[in-house]
Parts: sequence; C-alpha cells; structure tokens
Amino acid sequence: MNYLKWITDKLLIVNKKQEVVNFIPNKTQTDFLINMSGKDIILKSRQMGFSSIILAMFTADFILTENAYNVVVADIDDNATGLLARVKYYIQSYEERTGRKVPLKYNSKTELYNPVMNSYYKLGSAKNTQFGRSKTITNLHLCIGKGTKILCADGTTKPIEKININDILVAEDGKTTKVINKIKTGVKPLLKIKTWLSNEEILVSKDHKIRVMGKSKAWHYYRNIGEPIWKKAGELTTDNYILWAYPKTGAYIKFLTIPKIKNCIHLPINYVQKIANQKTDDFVVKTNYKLGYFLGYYLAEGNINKGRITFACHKDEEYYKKFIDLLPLKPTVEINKTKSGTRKLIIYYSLELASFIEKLVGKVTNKNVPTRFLYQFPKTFLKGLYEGWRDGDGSKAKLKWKCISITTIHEKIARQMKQIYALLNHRLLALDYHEKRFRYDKQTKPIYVLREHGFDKNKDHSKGASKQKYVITRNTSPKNGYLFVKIKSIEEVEEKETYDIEVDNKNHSFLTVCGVVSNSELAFYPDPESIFGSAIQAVVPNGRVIIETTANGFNWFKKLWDVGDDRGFKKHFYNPLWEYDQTFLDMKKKELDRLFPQEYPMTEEEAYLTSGSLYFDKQALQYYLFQSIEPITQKLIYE
Amino acid sequence: MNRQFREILKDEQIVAGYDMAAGVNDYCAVQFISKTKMDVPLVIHSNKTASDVTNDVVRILEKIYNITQIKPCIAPETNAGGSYEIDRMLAMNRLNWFDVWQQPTGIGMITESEPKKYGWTTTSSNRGKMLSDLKQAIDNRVLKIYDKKTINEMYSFVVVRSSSIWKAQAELNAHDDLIMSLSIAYQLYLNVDRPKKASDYEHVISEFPKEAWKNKSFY
Repeated sequence: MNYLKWITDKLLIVNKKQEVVNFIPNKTQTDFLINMSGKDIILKSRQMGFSSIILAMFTADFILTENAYNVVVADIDDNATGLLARVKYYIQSYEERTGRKVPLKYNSKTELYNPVMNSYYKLGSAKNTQFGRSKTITNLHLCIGKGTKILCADGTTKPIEKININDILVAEDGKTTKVINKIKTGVKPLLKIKTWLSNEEILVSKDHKIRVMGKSKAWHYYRNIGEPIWKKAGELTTDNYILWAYPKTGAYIKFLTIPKIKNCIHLPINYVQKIANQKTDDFVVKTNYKLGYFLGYYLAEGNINKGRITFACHKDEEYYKKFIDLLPLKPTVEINKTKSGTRKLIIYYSLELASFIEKLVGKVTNKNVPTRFLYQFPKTFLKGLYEGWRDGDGSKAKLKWKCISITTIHEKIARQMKQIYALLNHRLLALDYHEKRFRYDKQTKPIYVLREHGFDKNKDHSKGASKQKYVITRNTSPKNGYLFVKIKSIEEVEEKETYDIEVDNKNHSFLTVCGVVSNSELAFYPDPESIFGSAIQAVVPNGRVIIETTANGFNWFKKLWDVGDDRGFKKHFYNPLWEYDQTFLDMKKKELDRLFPQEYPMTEEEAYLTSGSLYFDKQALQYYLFQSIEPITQKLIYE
Repeated sequence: MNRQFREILKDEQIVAGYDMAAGVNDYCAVQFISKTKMDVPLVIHSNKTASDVTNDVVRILEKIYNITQIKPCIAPETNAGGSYEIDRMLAMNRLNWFDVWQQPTGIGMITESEPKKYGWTTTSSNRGKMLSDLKQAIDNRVLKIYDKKTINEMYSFVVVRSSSIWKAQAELNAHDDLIMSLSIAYQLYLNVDRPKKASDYEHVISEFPKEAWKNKSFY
C-alpha cells in the first residue's frame, strides 16, 4: 500500500498552529515512509511527528486490511488514551473526506474493533518505563487453541477461553504465577498433542513453543536427560518429552490450632504454647504424618454432618487405626446395615473438630486440597495426606498389573494429589479424565482416575523393562527438579479459535494438562524481562514493528540500538536539523542547557547522555570514530 | 571477544592494561598498546570470568613474545579480587616470556621496607592522574585507537558533579572497563622502559679502547 498517498488523500490533522489541515507528511515523515523496512528503530529528536505518521499508517491498516491487529504501546496510560483519541480523529476525518462510514463495534478508551475487516486497534501502556517513551507494534498473532485446559494453582482446570486476568496458574518452576494479559489471536490450524500418563490433550498452533527435554552429554541411557529447552510444536515428535511443573514445598507451617467454640464439647487443651509468638490456649495439632493421613482419609471417605465427622468404609477396613491416637477424642465405631450393604462408620462427635476440618478442606462437593498445603506444609504431612486419600479411595484390584487406581469426582483433589505425588516421589501419577462414565448402567458425574505405578520392586531394567513409559518419566535427580513426560501422539486438527495469555513469571510459561508451554514467545527473546520481546516475536512475518523514541540514558534501548542490525532491524537516526533551523536549536540549547543533547541530539552517541558532559574532547572522539576500522580478525592471536 | 586490528611486528614493544570483571554484568578488558607504533593493535573484551580470560591473556602474551622477541609487560588491576589472578598469572609464566608490572612503593617513602606489589592498584589518588594522562593523549590524538567500542565507551564517559567534586565516570548503566584498562596500559606506556638489547650497546663498545683494562689509568 502507498501510505504516503493514502494519508495525504484521506486524512486531516491539527497542525502546531492548531489549524485543521490535510495531512501532508513533512520531510522526516516522508523520508521514513520511503525508507522503512518493516522492522525499524527510530532514534529521533523531540516533536518530529513520528507518532502521528505511525498512527496514520496503522489507521490505514485498520480500515483497509483484513484481520489486522494493530497494537500501540505508550509509556503511560494518559499517553495511550491521547494516542487513541488521535486515531479516532483520523477515522473521523477519513469519514468526512471520503463520505464512507467506518463501522466500529467496540469503541472504548483503549480498543477499537472493525467488524467488517475483523481488525483491531489496541492501545496499551508499557508497565516498564524503561521501554522508552513509546513504541508501536502491529499484527500480533498467537497461539493456544480453544478448549485447551490450563491448570490453575488451586487444582482446577479452565479452558483457555475462560481464563481471566488475575487467575493464578502454575509456572515452569512450580511456583504460582498470575495472568496479566489475555489476547484473542484469530483462527488457526492446530496440533493436538497427547502425552503418556493422561488421556487429555492440548491444542497449540505449530509455532507455539513447548518446554521439552534437551539432550544431555551424559553417556548413560538412564541419565540421558538434559536441561529443558524450548521447541516449536511443529517440530515435536513422539520421541520428545514435555516438562511437567510441580511445586516445591516451603514447609514452614509446623502447627495448626483448632479454635474453641462456645457451647459445645471442648477438645481438651494439650498445653498452652506459643505459636508465631502468640500464646494460644486452643488445641494445637502438629502438621505431621498422622494429621495428613487423617485429612487424606477424610477427603476420601469422610463426611461432615450435624457437627460430627463420619468416616464410612468397608466393614473390614482398619485404616482409621492409623490416626486413632491423633486426638484425645475417641471415635465411636459402628457397623451399619443399609440397602447398599454393610458399612463401618467411624464417628467423631466434635463440633470444634468438624468446623476446623470444614474450614481447612471443605465438605461434600466442596472438598479440596488447598494450594497452601503444597507450598507451605511439610513433606511428611503431604505424604500422610496422599496415603490417607489413596487408602480411602484407591482400589487394589489392579495390583496384579502393579498399580493402584484411585477414582474421584473432585477435580481439585485429583490434580493436587498428582502434584503432591510428584513433589514427594519425583514421579508422575497417571491421570485420566472420563467425562461420560457409566456405573450400573447409569451415567455418573465426570470422574478422574489416577493410577499409581511402581509397585514392582523386582523389575529388571536390563531386560527391556525400562521401555515402560512410567519408568522413563523419572528424572535423573530430584535435586534439579525437572520431570518429563513422553509425548504419545501428535495430530493435525481443524482450525479453531486461538488465544494466548501472558503470565508475570520470569519464565513466561505455564502448566497445561500436558506439560509446560510458553505464554507468548517471550522466553525466546534475549531480553525476556520486556513485554516488548514477546510482542516482536508475535508479529507475523509480513507484519510491521516500529520502535520510536527519544533516548533516555543507557538503558535497554541503547542495547537494542547497538545490536539492532544483528536482529534484523533497520536503524533510522534523525537529528534535529531535519526539522528545525539553527536559530530554534540555539534557543532550545539555552532553555535546556545540559539536557539539550538528549532531547535534540546531533549524533547517535550524544542522544544517550543524561548525567553530565563528555570527559574527552568531542572533536577528538569524532576524529577517532572516523579513523576507527573493523578488526582484521576476532580469533585469538595464538589460534 | 578478541579484536585485532593489525599484525604484531618483530621488535615491537607491547604493554597491556587488564581490568578484571567484578560482577555478573561486568566485562574483562585488556588493551595492548604498542610503545613502538603508539597505537592499540589488540583489544580483548569478554564477559567470561576473569580466570577464563587470564588463561587466554597468558597465551597471548607468550605469542606476542614469540613474534616481537621483546617481553611484553602487563598490569592486571589488583582491585576486585585481581590479586588471585595475578598469582596465577605469575605461576603460569614459567618460561618468563612476559613481565607483570610491579607498582613502585610510592613517592615519599623513606625506606623500601615494603615490598613492591605486582599488578596495578587504582586508588582515588592515582585514578585522576591515570585518566587525565589518557585524556591528554586522546585530546591531542597522540595514541591511535582503532576500536569502535572503546571510542563508543568514551562517548559515555562523563564528568559528573558529586557533592563536593567533579568526577569522571561512566554514564549510568554504561561500562568503563575498556577505558580503565586503556588508562592502565597508557600508564605502562609512560613508565615501562624499553629493554636494552646488545645492539643498543654497540656504539659504546666501539668507542671503548680494546684491552683498556691493561692500561693502569683505566683504574
């Protein structure tokens, strides 16, 4: 498109004298329009009109190009709003001059949407002020298919389209991370990836990066597990292993207190003691194996009703004896005969205990494993929790296959237990999700079936047993904390709507039901701290990236400027003489004093100075710069 | 990264200043000045650890001696843990093919009880002199510098006013490794003597009467 002609013919602008005139680009703007490459960095003086021309170009794309996604990032919110007001003025002037109406579906403070061309115009502010004064990006595309389940830190999963900003997810390092942005990225062909140990899948675009196991130089096959690397989904094979993220416990909650309640049977006070520097006369329990087992068994078999806790189990089960001496209360043990058969009931009559348990892990359909268990409670407690739950809900019917299967309808419990198992044993449980499940010819609620393998202690790895996927998921050492799971299948599927979310974790990645994927492409940029990196990687091949700023000291922009050529950017430096005469500049020099070189730099180097005047003679340096030569070799002299 | 701008020639005397990296974002820099040609033919600028760079530097110095047949002299900066590297450097100098600069004990010392120190110690008192000597050389274009990065770094080297004094230092977030190593090398350029060779004494020998020792007046 000939932007120069289009802008001149179709748009109006308010000039510096506050008059409405046809938008005829000035000398600098015209030069830029002629010489721009598609990936440009502009270092310029103040008030040269670059924002105006870039906004006008993007307006042209917004009105005329299908599926254009124009993003402009300003330094602060006020400036972003101001820039969008200017865009709206351009659109209005286009309508006036051409007599054509531009349909706008959304017309908010930060976003415009053209439903006819399906194009967006979005303005945001860079949280990081080091981005410079403003930058301009266009044509973002991304990445994860609708329906892909993302794992939240509380153990639930959400399809990506339902993820909201501020949702808490699990990052690559197992820590929690917050969603800070969500982008709808159009319809794209997708890949369906499944892993072993799960029947669930993720849908990703071919370009989306996934964290997989890298190659190690270690010679031993069992230790042949390298550091995780990023790989495009399109390049993956069924020989690849995807990284799984799980939390690392902080283990600093050593005690819990069961508060007193008026007018009910009190738990006897064990003794008055200090917890977190406060004396308490509530009943104190240690977060040890027994308490964990008690809670785990409750999650499987327990029920709270009328201020009492009831565990219902098979009449032969004796698991309750493992925690019977946890509390100074003795439970009542009854055998009940009902229509469904004979059951053993273990009942604790204590409102205090019941309300404590309910508050801690919920009751009935609300049963859950709180996120803080995984991050703050000791491993012994978690071990008890898992084993209690497994003993309660697990079935040993499949022990002949050397595995125990555990069935639950509580997603929060199933997924958190998988994480706890990974945390404790550095192995993964297999987790299958069955949406339609029939029992006695009746459809039940969707269920989650977990399988714990590894009961075959005598497995001989030298005779091919190591080919089992479950064994290979083990990592070399729990110290480095990497756990991988092998890809089972990769299929191409039809086009679907895609989304991308951005998280505030430094690794810019999050956990899905099939392992860790990147948020946008941010992790691949040498300077991952900046959102800027992700945005550039996200631009489609024929998209355009323009970064324009006046310099502001030796910051990331200087680094980018120095290496810009290597990264495929075309550098444009416009000194103030392009736009202003010497008299004006002399006047500004008096006004600004030492800040003058920064705001109106004559050379590229001068632009970055902020704090003082040059130590060496400027003319001598210019002479040296002129005399400088490229090295004849960069090899070491002895090579 | 190594940057060599011309071939090193025979009979050239090379001196070098070595500024070691102090932290993660810091660089190791070594500037080699030719006393003979008055230029900087070789620059090492690396973000590797100082111990890695020292290994390279030792081999480079030996190679330089191989070519020039004159011992090069190097002054590693002792600040920021450089002393350990100097120890290593001395241990590695088994063939005695290069010299490590020994800093004089200081003007005004009555006795020489304190041993001479290896390496260069930059202090607040000598830093000003180092930089002003370098500034004089640069401003008068005495020293030929080919390296663009060094010149760019000079562009970010500014005079800033602190509470009481004016101080020359790198701009915020900019580096000064190349400049400090150049200023150390320039001090060596000013202070290291050219080693005497046999040919330097030829005129003296020719003027000296043969078998003069036999003459009693010689004593």
